[in-house]
Amino acid sequence: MDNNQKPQIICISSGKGGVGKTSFTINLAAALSTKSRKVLLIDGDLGLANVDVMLGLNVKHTLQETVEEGRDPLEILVEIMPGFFVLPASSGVPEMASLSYEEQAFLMDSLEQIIGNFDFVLVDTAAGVGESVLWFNNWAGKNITILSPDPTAMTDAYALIKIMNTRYNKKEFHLIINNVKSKKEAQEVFVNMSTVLENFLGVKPCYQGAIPQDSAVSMAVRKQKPFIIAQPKARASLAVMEICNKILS
Amino acid sequence: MVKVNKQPRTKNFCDFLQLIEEEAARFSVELIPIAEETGTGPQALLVLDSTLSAKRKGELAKPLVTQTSPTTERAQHIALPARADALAGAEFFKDCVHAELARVKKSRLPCSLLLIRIDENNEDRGLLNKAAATVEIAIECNHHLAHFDHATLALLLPGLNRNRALRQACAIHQSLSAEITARVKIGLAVCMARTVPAAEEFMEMAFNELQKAEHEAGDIFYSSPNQDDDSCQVTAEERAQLFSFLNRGK
Repeated sequence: MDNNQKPQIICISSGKGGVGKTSFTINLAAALSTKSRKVLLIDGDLGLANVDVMLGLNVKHTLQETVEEGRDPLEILVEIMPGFFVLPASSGVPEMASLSYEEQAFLMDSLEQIIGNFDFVLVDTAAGVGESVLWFNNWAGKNITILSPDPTAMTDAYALIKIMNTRYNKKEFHLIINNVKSKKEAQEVFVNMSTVLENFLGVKPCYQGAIPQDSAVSMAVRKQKPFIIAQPKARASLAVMEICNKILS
Repeated sequence: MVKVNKQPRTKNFCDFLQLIEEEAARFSVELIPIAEETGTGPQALLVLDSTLSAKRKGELAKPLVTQTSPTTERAQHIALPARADALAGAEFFKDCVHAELARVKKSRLPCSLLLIRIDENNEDRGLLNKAAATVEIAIECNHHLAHFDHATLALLLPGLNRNRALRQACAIHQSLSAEITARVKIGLAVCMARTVPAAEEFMEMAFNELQKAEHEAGDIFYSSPNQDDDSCQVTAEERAQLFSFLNRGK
């Protein structure tokens, strides 16, 4: 495989848990792969992974082995569908949730050895503002923050952006408003968030899109399949495809 | 990892090892001489990147132990010291600082530097060595401890921000106060990713803080004005604006 390309690394975070990071990331990866792009999805929730669960995978190896045993990440890769690969993490391993400085550096080096094989690298981070979340966000060239129209999700998304801006000097943030009743609601949330970010941090976020409330999402989670594959005509699927096209353009 | 073995244990081999040690002093690496407990000299020398985790170092050392000792019984006699024997000197430490600051630029994780002065008027080198032994117990394997001057130790803390470094400084101060009777002063400098100084400048920042600690009432000093606030607490004003659109419909 050609290892000289420079992939686009996109980190998907939210601050708050349960906002829809993993579901969105899986579907975005699937969408990009349907557009003939080679995509690597890294489960960045290193100690409490969910990507494998949402995809119904029975994984043999995880990133824990890369950190602890030096296993080549290429040996861990799982191909979900043509062009869509997953690097699964471990579940219920607190040590992986709090990697040391050296372990982080080692993992970063290991990942950088393989990402050249892909067009896109998507990182589905853990909830919160733990070190792995900050580190993955800093590593990425593009930062997508998902939030929903409720005060806790908005506050946590804002807090994450504030940390990345204040401590890591990140200036570009892309917002996705999930689980909205209407486009109007999504616009209201975005404008409000955008205003606060500009007023207090001088950050002007980009509107990446919105995903409507849709029963297809929860049905796909139960079927352990991406909803854009299970129900490609569903409103949520069309919204993800729209975001995918925006990223490609 | 560099492995040097299969050489007769002659004076030449020892010279050869010494040559490697001298060369290695210019880099941020850890040297681990490998010898049989009953032997008279080292059989091999591991040169490891000092940023590797203890776990990873163990992994790398494992096959070497097997290769140099065909039987399990013999392998049990091979001693792997956890750290280099003596504290690094100022030149090596400066290289460590330089390497860590380069890493801060890449990883965006902060890095802190403590200068620990043990009673400047005390000329007893034994006191400084005793202090170093006490500090070594309180630090982690990726922290770098070195002699700074005749009365001062330097401690580089990769990945530690202001608050964590201050906590570490307090813990060290407590340990030292319990172990030695001398006056202990600590100066702290913190390097954040947004402004990474040169190694000399960073060491000077810590030295200035130490000088202030010498003349001020506190034992631990940290005052750099451009780094004093890296708090990201979401303020009441920010929250009020965030929630304003929710209240519009009420």
